[in-house]
Amino acid sequence: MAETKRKKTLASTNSLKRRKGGDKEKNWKKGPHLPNALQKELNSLNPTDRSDEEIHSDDDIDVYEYEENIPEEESKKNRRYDPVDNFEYELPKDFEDEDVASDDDEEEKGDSDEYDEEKHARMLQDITGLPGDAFEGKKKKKDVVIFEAYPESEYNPSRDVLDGDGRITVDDLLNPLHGKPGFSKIRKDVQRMDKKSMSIQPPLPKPQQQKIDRRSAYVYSKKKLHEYEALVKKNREAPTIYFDEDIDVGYSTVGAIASEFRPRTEFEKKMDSLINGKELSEAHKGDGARLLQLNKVSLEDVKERQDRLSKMRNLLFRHELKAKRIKHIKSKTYRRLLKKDKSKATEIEMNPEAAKELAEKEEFKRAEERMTLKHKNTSKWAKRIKKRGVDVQDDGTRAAISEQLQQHALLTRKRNSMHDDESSSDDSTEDDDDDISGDEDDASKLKLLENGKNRTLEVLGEDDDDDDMPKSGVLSLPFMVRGQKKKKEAAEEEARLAFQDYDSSLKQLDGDEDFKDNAGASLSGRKVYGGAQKKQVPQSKKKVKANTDNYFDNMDSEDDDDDDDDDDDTMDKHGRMTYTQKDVNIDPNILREESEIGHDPLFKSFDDIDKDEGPKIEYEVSLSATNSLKKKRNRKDCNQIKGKKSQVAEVASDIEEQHGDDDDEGGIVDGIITSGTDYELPSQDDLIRRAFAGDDVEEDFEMSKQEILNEENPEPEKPVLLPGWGQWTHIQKKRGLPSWMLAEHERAKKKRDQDLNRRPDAHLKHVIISQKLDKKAEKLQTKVLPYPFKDKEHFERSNRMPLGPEFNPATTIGSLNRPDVVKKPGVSIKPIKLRKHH
Amino acid sequence: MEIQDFSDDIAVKVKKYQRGESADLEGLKDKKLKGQLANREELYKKSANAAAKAEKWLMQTESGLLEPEGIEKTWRFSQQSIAQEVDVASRKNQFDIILPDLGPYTIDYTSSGRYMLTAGRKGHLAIMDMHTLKPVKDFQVRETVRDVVFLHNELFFAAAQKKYTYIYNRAGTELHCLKEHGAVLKLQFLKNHFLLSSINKSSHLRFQDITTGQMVGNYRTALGRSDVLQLNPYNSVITSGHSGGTVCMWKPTTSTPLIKILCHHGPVTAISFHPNGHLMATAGMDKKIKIWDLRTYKTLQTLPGNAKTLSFSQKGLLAASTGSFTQILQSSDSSNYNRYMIHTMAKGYQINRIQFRPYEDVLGIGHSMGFSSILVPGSGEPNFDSWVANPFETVKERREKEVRVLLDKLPPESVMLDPTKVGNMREVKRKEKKTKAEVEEEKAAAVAAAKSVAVKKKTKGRSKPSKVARKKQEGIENAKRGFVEENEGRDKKKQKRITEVNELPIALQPFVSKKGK
Repeated sequence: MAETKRKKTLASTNSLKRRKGGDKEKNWKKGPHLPNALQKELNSLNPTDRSDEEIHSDDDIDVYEYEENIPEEESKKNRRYDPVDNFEYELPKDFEDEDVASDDDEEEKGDSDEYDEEKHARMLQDITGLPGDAFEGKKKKKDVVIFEAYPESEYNPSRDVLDGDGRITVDDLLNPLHGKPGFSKIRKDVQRMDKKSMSIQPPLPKPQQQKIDRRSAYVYSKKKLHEYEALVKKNREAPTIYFDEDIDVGYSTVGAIASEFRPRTEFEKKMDSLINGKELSEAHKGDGARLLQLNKVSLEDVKERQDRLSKMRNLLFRHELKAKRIKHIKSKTYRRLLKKDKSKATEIEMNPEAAKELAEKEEFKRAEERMTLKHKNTSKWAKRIKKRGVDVQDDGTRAAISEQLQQHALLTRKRNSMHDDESSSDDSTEDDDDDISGDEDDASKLKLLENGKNRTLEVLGEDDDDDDMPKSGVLSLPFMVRGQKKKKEAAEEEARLAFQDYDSSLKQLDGDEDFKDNAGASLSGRKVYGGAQKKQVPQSKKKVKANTDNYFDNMDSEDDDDDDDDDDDTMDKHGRMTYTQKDVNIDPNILREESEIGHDPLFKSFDDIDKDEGPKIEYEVSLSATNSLKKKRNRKDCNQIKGKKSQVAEVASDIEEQHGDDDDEGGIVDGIITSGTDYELPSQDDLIRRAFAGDDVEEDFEMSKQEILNEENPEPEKPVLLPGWGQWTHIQKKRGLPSWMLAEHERAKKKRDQDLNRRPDAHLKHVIISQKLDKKAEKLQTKVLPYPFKDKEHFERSNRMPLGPEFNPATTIGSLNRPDVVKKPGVSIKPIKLRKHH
Repeated sequence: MEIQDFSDDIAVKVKKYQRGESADLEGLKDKKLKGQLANREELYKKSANAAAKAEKWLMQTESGLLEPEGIEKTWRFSQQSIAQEVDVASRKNQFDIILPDLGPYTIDYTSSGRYMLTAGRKGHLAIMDMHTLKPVKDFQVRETVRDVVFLHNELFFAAAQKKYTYIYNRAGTELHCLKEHGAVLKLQFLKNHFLLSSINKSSHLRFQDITTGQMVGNYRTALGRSDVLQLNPYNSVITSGHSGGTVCMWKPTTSTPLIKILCHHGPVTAISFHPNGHLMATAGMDKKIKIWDLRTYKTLQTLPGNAKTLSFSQKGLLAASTGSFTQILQSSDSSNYNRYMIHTMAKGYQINRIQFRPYEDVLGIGHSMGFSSILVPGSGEPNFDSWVANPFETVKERREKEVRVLLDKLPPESVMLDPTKVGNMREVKRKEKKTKAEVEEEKAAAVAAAKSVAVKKKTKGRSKPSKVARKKQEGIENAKRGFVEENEGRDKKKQKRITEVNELPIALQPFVSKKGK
């Protein structure tokens, strides 16, 4: 197969060569070489010469035949050549050809082209393994079949033109004119032109062209821009640029806007027609008489109006008289009745909604009262009375208290609401609530407490035997079970506490009972469990203290209270003392009084509480002795006294005992209590200290300064022997410390000295200027210089002037604070306009 | 001659209003900045000129002094002789109010001088309108009152009572009880910062913001009991005097005193500040009155004499009193104070507090038998600035001013020795380097930590003793390396940053973040 192929190709080359020779001869005969396009044209015109046609038709059949019709570059079959370039350079070459009869080079070139083509085909064949005609067919496919039904004209172009390589030349145009008059002249002209014509330089590449354009434009624009320079410079240097020079933004006044109004809607139009009606406007134009004519009023109308007015006036007068009379009535009963009537009237007037509102209001008040227990002896005054015992009070006070309680009862009584019937029977908890708030008798309260106790017991019991844990599902997972258990335990704990509370309060209630009976009025309300009692105790204590203060204030003189306070100070310094010495000193006086009322049940109850749960009130007590020595000791020992827990009840009842206690524990307090009125002489120490207060002041100051210096510029550490190194041979001892160490120490020392010298207080012996930085004040100063500044001094100097209206006259504030750009809103900024000065 | 004088006068005022010299712009390379700064300077100059002229022509009233003729001495003029010469309105300001029962009185004026607050030691408090000379409110607290001070206006005042400090309003209603302050000996009010400062018996200095109630500062002076506390009106620095002869200056936000000066060899009894803030007068038990320059912290003058209380007037007169004797000193150039006037109360009257009344030539004296006021020509500022303090303030003005002042309230940290430093560059203090010992310590700790790391037990021969040991050693090395690298790394970073910054064009350099790197 391969062999046959080769044969074929060889044959084709041979035939090609042969045919070429023939062609040459043909060309030669024909005379001047015509461009292929022209030749084709001619061929198409002369159907007699059919050699080409034949070959063309034979193509499909005979592979060995080769026809040479168009040079490769012109046929553009494989588009190896640039069509544009081809066209550009074609024309002049052809004309040259005309003059030169034959050109061997040209022929040879064509030959080599032919050869190339052939080679290419072979190569393709080799690569693809397809027969050569496959490629040829491909080439031919592009040919357009044209049916030449009409003679060729500009409307019916030749196939060459359609092929894309038929170009019309001057000769093409001239040839048809051959023989016509004036042809020779035209030809001569053309020839002359050809001779004269020079080769046209190709245009520069685009980028280069653009570059040149730009350069020229730059030169021009530069010149133009120079004109702006002065203006721009002026603008740049100006502290403020204005963009609001006399620009009309639009309407500025209401009048201007109103004048533009045009009626649009029906209503507006109607109004407009009325207002600007012809009649009215004319009447306005003339005098007022016309206007009066326009509003005609009948006589009856006027009379009726007058009658009505007079009637009204009369009525008003009568009413006034009546009101005056009523106002002068001084009877109180009348007033009361009036008020009642009024309220009744309003009640009648009230619609159900208002009634509901009122009910709500009342309910709110009730809730508030229940919450605050304002009338439940919680006020300071009531507490004081309660504490002192109600039976020692006079009748008025007692009455007042009972009245208060009454009010409380009134306020907390449940309103008869819509759900009245249900609430009483249905809900047990609500019932309880009701009991607590409403009923004041202790029996019910006891019952209630019992109730609560039982319930908690129940819960506790339940917890104990409650073992119905889910046996399956998520809740049966081990960790869930554990969690449940924990929860239950916590709940139990809580319940137990509550139970204890109940218990204690029950006990207390027993104690309280007789007191309450004494008080006459019913004093109980909602019981507060837990913390409330704890609170009460210190309060009572405080009260006692306050009393003592007042008591002493009346009589103590200036100095002694100062002294007392001095003592306080000493305690304060050690930071322990809360209750001052004096308070304790004075306590017995008052407390003795108090103890006279000691049989008061209230105090007993306090005792009970303390014993029951033992809420220890912590407070530190220290008593100072009269003589200075003891005081000193006291001061020293103050650190040791931490705090003594003592029960307030004890303090209240037997203070002597407590003193003993203190003695045992701290060993500082003696039982003698000085009365506050005595003048206390300053101790010897104090006197000496005062007398020599200014003695070694300077040394002290120097020392403190040294301390501060050391703190702020610490001294360098002294070099130490290197541990381990050279110890066997005692080389360190012999040579001493290494020199570099010494040098470093020396350097550090020097540096410290320098630092110390640099301090502002270096040369002021009596002054310490703190060098500590205030962290909080750091934000008031900048860390870095703001941008345009390069120098700290420039920046700080530029800041020195205040800019506010308080510091500058009104004439300069504006210019001092004007922004860089002043612009009205809504005004567009236009580019700079050059104003030429002529 | 006259014209020359006038221009000199103006020049002095212009200088005052220019508030210092402008910077030297010659060396400035940045032309744009130079132009801008030059513009600013021009504006400042214009403003200063306008202000000087306004002062010249609008503030017509001038202050005067007693002028002796021949052998007359100013201190020989008695109050009676002065009273004969002055107008009726001024004569009204000479009075004695005798209140013998409720102990030595202390006084305080509002900043406008319109109202006076007096407090008797034994609990008598009274506000008086000094224009009508009628008491606005007069009540007793039945408790020791050690000091009183007006708050920002006459509506409120604070009283340091026996145990606590209380704030009352003008009607005498107690508004607040400041328990935290303790038993206060002396109160001061910083009106620009709305801080009430107090020093109590245990020598705790406290600053409380009265607008928010926040306790801004609470510092232990640790210098013993002191009842000398004075505000420097120029910079709002609080100064306390102590028994060791030291005077400490405090700001509300630092626990250490800004300045500590050893002024006297005995306890300090009184301090007062010149309104311009540069002069401080102190009196001590060592029988000396010293005048200090606060710019150099050196004594300008030492005068002999005791003083229980001192007071500078607006025009720079210094009043000092002890026992029942008051003397007023005056100097032309605020360096050499000489005797100007003397005043002696009736025998046995112990003067407790003296204070010059603002905007009037009046000295208020609180003493053991009440209080009195005397005329001291040339003590008060003749022209008041209604932006600052208006003695003839209406209610509406007062209300507006209250709002304005509250809006302008300064934060407590803005109190500093030199208030002009606000907004300036912070003085860079070198970061304190860790001492060698500290570094060593840290290193040792790190190594110890590395050593004590428990090694996991691993199988397949990975827990061989040799391997464990190697691992431990590695850990230790790592720990050590951290310290070396930390130091070196920092330097390298710094260098790198610097070079980076320098590479950038100038215009972009300000935008390099100092933290980012």
